[in-house]
This record gives sequence, C-alpha cells and structure tokens, in this order.
Amino acid sequence: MRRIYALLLRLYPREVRTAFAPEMSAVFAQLAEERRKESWASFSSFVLAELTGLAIGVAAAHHALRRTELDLRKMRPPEVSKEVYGGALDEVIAAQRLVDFNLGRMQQAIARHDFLKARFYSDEDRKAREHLRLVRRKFGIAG
Amino acid sequence: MRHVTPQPTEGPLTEPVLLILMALVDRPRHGYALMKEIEALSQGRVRLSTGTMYGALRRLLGDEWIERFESDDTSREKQAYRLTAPGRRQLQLELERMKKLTRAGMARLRLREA
Repeated sequence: MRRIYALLLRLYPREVRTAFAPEMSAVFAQLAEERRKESWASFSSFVLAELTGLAIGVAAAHHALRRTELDLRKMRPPEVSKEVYGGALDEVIAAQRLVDFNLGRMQQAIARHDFLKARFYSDEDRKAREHLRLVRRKFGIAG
Repeated sequence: MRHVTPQPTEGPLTEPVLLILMALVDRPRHGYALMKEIEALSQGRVRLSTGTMYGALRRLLGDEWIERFESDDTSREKQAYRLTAPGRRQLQLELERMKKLTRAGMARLRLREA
C-alpha cells in the first residue's frame, strides 16, 4: 500500500515532492498500519479519506504553484545559514532532476522491452538516489 | 487616538491550520505525532488525511508561522516542526476572536432564555 501511495505522490509538483514526499509516505505507512489493526472498516475509510485528501492536495499544490512559485528558501532549518542553504537547494534540485530523468528513461526502456537499457538506468537511478540522499544529509535538508 | 488591534493576515484560520498551530504550542512535533495530537485535541473528531495536513504545513512554512526543527531523530522521513513567534501571535489572535464570538453568542442565548 505504501508503494502505491508513494507512486501517487509523484502527482505532486516536483518542488512539493522534494520537500515532503518521504515524510508523507512514512506518515501514511504508520497510519495505515494503525488503522489496519483497528478494523477493516476503519482501514477502508482511512484509504478513502487518504485518496480524497491526496487528490485535493495535488490539485491545490498545482494551483498554488501556478499562482506563486513555492519558495523552498522558507523551508530552511534555523540551524543552517541562508548562504549554505541557498547553495544546498540548487544541489538538491539538480540531484532530484537527475533522479527524475533516470526514472523516466528507465520507464521508457521497460515500455519498449529494452531491458539492457532499463538495467543501465536502474543502476543510474540507484546512484542518483544515493547522491540525493547524501546531498540532503550534507546540508541537513530533510524530505 | 484610535486603538488598532493587530488582525490575522487572512481572516479566520481553517480548522486544520488552527489545530496544527495548537498542537505545536507546547513542543515541536513530527508528522505522525502531529496527527495524533490533533486527534487528541479534537477528542477524536478530526482525523486529517496526510495530504490535507501536509498541504497546511506547506502553507504555514510559506507564511513562516512554523519552521522545520532539527532534532536528534531528524531523518528524511521524520522531520519535526515548531511554532515561530509570528505563528504563536496568529494563534493568540484567532483564539481571542473565537472567545469574543463565543461570548457574544452566549449573551444572545441568555437574552432569549430570560
């Protein structure tokens, strides 16, 4: 279920995904586990509410982004200086773009049944994600 | 001289925003803890969806009413948030507004019952 939710999070604009997707996915997984233990009815209503919330959230995020660019500078943790954070954002966004690029190429290769190329981009994807993780950790940028 | 009371920037706060601000008054919380605190504050009435809560968090970060908080267990999946001074001020203003409205409503009810 978490994997499906993580896939649906890709509907958000990139800037929002960069800032929040891992957190949202983790919170969703915790809540889903909790509701599953409560009862089947509770879990079903939870999934319905989550899907509705996600659809509204995605629409609102795209709408907000059209009106005004999401200012990732405001997401700066107080412990990180403005200069360091500004540089870090550029690196994080570039790393995220590389992840998106590799993933797109991998999906295209799979669709064309070109599994050699798919494997190549799968390896590249793994490296790009690790790079993204390290860049985030280096600058203390979560999510 | 006319006394001008500072007003909230955008009218009444929405319920999710109000509950998030209230949940962050005593200490910073990460996403899941926020969800649980909101549920407790509303006595189980409000269970925000993840999308709704993070939509509100995004706006609150943009308005600088809350900020991300570096804690010992901060990771990609566990980011804590805390209230800023402007956020606390907005919450106070909103609670004052609600208190006045409640007082006015109760006074009306008492008049009608008398």
